Amino acid sequence: MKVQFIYPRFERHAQSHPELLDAVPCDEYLGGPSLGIANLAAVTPPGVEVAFHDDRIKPFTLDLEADLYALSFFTPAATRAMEIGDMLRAAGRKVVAGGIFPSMMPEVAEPHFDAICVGEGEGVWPQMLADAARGALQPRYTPTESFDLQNLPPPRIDLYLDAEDPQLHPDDYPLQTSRGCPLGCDACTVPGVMRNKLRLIPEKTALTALADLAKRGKRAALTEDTSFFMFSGARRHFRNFLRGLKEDPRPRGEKVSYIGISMPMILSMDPEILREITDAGINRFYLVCGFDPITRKAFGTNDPVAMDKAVKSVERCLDFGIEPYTSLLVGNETDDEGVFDRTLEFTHRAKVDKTEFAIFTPYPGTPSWHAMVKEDRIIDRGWHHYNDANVVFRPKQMSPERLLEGYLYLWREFYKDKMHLRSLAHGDRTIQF
Amino acid sequence: MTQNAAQDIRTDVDAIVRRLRPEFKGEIHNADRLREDLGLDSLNAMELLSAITEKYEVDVDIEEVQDVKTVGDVVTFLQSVMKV
Repeated sequence: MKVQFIYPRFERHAQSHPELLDAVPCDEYLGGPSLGIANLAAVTPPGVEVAFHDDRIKPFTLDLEADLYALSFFTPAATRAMEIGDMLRAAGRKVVAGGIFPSMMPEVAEPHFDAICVGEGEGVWPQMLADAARGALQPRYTPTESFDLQNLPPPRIDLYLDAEDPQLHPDDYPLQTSRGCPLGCDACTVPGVMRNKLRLIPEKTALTALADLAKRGKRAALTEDTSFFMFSGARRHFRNFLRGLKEDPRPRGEKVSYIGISMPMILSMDPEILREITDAGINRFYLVCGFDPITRKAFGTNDPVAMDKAVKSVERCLDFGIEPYTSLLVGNETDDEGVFDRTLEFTHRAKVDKTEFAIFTPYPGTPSWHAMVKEDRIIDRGWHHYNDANVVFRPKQMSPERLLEGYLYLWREFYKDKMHLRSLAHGDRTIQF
Repeated sequence: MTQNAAQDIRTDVDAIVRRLRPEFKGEIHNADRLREDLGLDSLNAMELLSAITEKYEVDVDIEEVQDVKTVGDVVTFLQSVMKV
């Protein structure tokens, strides 16, 4: 049996708004696929042949023959994924799907596939394969319990690496150290897909995945806010991981491209942990703003104390030799039209030299999505527009048009006097847009 | 939990509170509420619990700390989960 995995393409900021390519003197960060497919491939039983196709590099066509096609996708890729599902089914091929979108919107995804997985895939994947082999796929597979991460092999990142080409050859790939989260943050899909208990990926598995990347000259990208909390011993676990990372002889900045984190976490973190992060060779935080109380108050409600804290967060990173790469989001419920200028004021005060801007997006399955559906504020269900670069809901304090205009203004205004960035090395002038 | 062990926890709690709120110069009492009296915001309170449970190598879930409101609650909670 041959399984053809497909990672469907999605629209990036500069594809939604091509004018950004002229206004922003930076290179686009093109990341690797999310880990869903690599994790499923790792638990695929021996004897089943697997292949991987990245639809972002070359659009998928029916030329790729297989016994079963399997897609994993998040909301921005849902439009294209369902198109591929329809194409395959019309050709009489069998196709299954999983990932964040099918898990959060099963009724929407289901008609486009022979079967979908709702939730974590690893536990039900062997059954799906067995059912497909005997021509008896069920419409929906929902794991009854969380997958035991002690049994999770390192992801088959080699499939992604082998698919690289001159158009898309990411410097880094995601590395997971935990799943699930007990916090119910309004914009997050993690508890919905991975449940609300924080579960830890064994340190050995994570370090093996890191070594697999190192062998191919790649860095790991970590999104770790939950790792600094006490849930399930996550902080101790993460500090052990940092100790393991320290043993990796590669130079600082070459092992991990960034840790995703928020400002309140930086301000409250024990300096000893910040030192351990630095000692482990990590030199960049991907500072996600707009979801935490500090940035919501600083940019949204013009709170001077919060603005000071936001600036201090950036300074604290620099004090520890860590680059604070910011992602600045507008369109929160508390944002009035002053949010654009306050966001720019922050970039001036904190001396931010490069950044990215995003529009709040109520992703299906998040508490925000449920609230906005209830309030009838969702104005666009074109899933390819759910990419942080389009306004898909009616904002509370301004029109959708004003929010979009303000987002584009931020990009133009921030970068208008930063054309010198064009002359920097690729790594120093790369941002996500 | 012995008197000494409880005192050790209190000393550690005090040190973490002062790290999180360096501008707080007063005395810290068992009855002090983390948010209202000591001025810790929700994330600071979470950091206090994360740091203290890490120090004492105790793994907890969020539901278990919902009722922890005061300095004394932190000590009592830790005593109960350590069962010493």
